[in-house]
Amino acid sequence: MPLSDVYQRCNIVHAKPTNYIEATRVLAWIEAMKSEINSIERNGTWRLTELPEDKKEIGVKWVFKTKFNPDGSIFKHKARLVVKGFAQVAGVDYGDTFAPVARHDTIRLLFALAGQKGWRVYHLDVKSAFLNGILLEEIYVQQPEGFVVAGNEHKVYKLHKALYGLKQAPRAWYSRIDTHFIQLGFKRSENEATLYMKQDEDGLQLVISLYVDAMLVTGSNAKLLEEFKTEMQDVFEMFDLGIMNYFLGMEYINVVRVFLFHKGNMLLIYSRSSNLSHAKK
Amino acid sequence: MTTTKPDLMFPAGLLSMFMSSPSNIHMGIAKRVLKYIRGTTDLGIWYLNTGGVKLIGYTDSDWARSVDDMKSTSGYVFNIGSSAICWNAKKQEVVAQSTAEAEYISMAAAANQAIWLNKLLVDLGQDQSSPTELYCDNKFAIAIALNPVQHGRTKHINVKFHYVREAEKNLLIKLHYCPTDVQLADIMTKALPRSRLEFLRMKLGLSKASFKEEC
Repeated sequence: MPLSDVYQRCNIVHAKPTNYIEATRVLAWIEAMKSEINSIERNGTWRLTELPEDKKEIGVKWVFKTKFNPDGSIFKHKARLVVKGFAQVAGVDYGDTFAPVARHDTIRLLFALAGQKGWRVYHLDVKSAFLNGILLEEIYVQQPEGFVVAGNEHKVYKLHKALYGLKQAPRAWYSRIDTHFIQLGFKRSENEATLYMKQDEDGLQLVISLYVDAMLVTGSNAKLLEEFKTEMQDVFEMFDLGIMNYFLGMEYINVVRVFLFHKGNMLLIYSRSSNLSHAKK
Repeated sequence: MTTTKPDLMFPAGLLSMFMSSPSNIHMGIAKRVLKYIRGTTDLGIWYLNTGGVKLIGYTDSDWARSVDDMKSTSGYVFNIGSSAICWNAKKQEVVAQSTAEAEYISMAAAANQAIWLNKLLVDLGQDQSSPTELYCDNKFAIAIALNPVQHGRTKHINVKFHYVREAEKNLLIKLHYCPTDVQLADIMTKALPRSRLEFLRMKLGLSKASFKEEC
């Protein structure tokens, strides 16, 4: 095999810098970092300030990831600023860290219900969900490499919203979305913390099942469903994935009141790892 | 994988018990299971409109299955309409001294799940006015639950399992006897011959992706 072919196949290694200095050698990565900083600024995540004497700042670092198209070509250079959450002290810097997820039983129950009623199930996804979480704790982070504000080198950022890597980011996000749903008139189920319902005299209108940053929405009222999507899009950056076809490894087909789901992808992985393709049926 | 394939719950549970020190026998079983999966990739659960959201539960057990500690396995399945929504297979925590006791213990687990599912359905506006029906293929276990007699053979049963009695008394669940032939939870607790497996699989709503589209 010619060496050029080998390099061609190793492009993943080439395409992913491990630290800031490496990244600065490629223009695409600099742009990616700029866009990340911009989205953080736009989000109102932090404010430059002096570090109070009794506080300690937490380090941040850049994480780089190349996203590929299915054909192997580069889709996007992604730079993400993460907080070194391991430096946080439990009880001081953060309390609860978890975000509840929907149980599979609940999701299947929802499918059964949708099947019986002939509802459609929609799949929505919140973009960079954790950045929306509002922080209750006082947290300071260093200025990121390459984006230190000239003349203010000694200052730090005080966080108002969560960043990736923060221990409490999932929790902060859950509190945020929970409050938001309740403002929209949803009622949280007492028996399942991730199930939200909207009801009126005519019965059940909308049901949401939340799975961290993804949600399944279904219900009898198509107009309300559209309204809900718009309301969500006003507040969060959303991906509208339309009618659900793939969720948590479950594939799902909607054939007029008929639903099916099975783990197509998962199976592929299994059969590959055990050489099953050669096994006789 | 078991999230969409209730027919895999039993082998998956069995194999995972030996994860820490597997032998060649387990490898053989694992391969057998993988072959089965490969042959059934197009199976999925169909959720159809059967005209009503009614929860029905089945509970079963396999007495003293584990040869190492003689503990039993409990399993349950809950169906809405013609499809399974919830299932479980688990080795029991205590040693059951009789088949009826094993059934009774698994009944308690199923009762807890039934009550939770019932609450969820009520939250979703699907009123379950009548108690959730729970089917069990052991008459003696039902008798223990309905009637605190037979003290001599049941006095040692742990307090928490007697929750079934209370649930039945408060009309949260309703226990019924069903013959083993139509016991859907069978698939959760034991390895079955092919025809039986295929029959139960169908009863749980599992069928081919292409099959219903033609109808």
